[in-house]
Amino acid sequence: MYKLPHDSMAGTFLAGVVLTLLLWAVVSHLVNG
Amino acid sequence: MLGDLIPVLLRMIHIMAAIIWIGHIYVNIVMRPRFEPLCPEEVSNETDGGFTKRIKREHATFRHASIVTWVTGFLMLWHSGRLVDAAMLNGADAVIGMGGWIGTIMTLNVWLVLWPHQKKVLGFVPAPFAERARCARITFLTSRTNAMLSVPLFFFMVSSSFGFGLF
Repeated sequence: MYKLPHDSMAGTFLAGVVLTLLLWAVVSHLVNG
Repeated sequence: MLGDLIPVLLRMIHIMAAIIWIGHIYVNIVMRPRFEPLCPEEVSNETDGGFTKRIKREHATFRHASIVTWVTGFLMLWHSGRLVDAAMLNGADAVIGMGGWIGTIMTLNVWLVLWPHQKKVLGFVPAPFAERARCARITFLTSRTNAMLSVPLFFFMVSSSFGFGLF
């Protein structure tokens, strides 16, 4: 069976933190034009 | 007075419904830290007993809490006149807008992906065991996707009010 970060508790939240950092960069760019 | 009360009440309801919704997802993580395939002994074939009624009520509360969270979030943005700029991710409203879009994806995830499969896993809709086991993997990943999305969701929700210097 295929495995994803979501398959463990730590992986789920670590993936969330990584996604947050990426989106933070995107939103900073949007806010500052 | 009423002008101040409405946003406060909306925010209170928004937070309370979000606690019910996201809290349910976090409890699920505590109960099942990692995926374990469904076992035949684990599934209930009961269709209208007391346990099924309680599970149905629990799931209905959780699902509808997602709708209440989304609607109150929408109303707060509309009431403050920021709805269009937030939805278009314009300027300073891009912060709350990103939170709102993530919340929208999570709500759609609950209703369009998780719920149709969860009905089979829990036996609300009759399905053979193999199908229930297949759906259990999908509901697990859907729930975990929402847990993952809750991290940026809370980041943008909180920072739109208290951390604007971050952007």
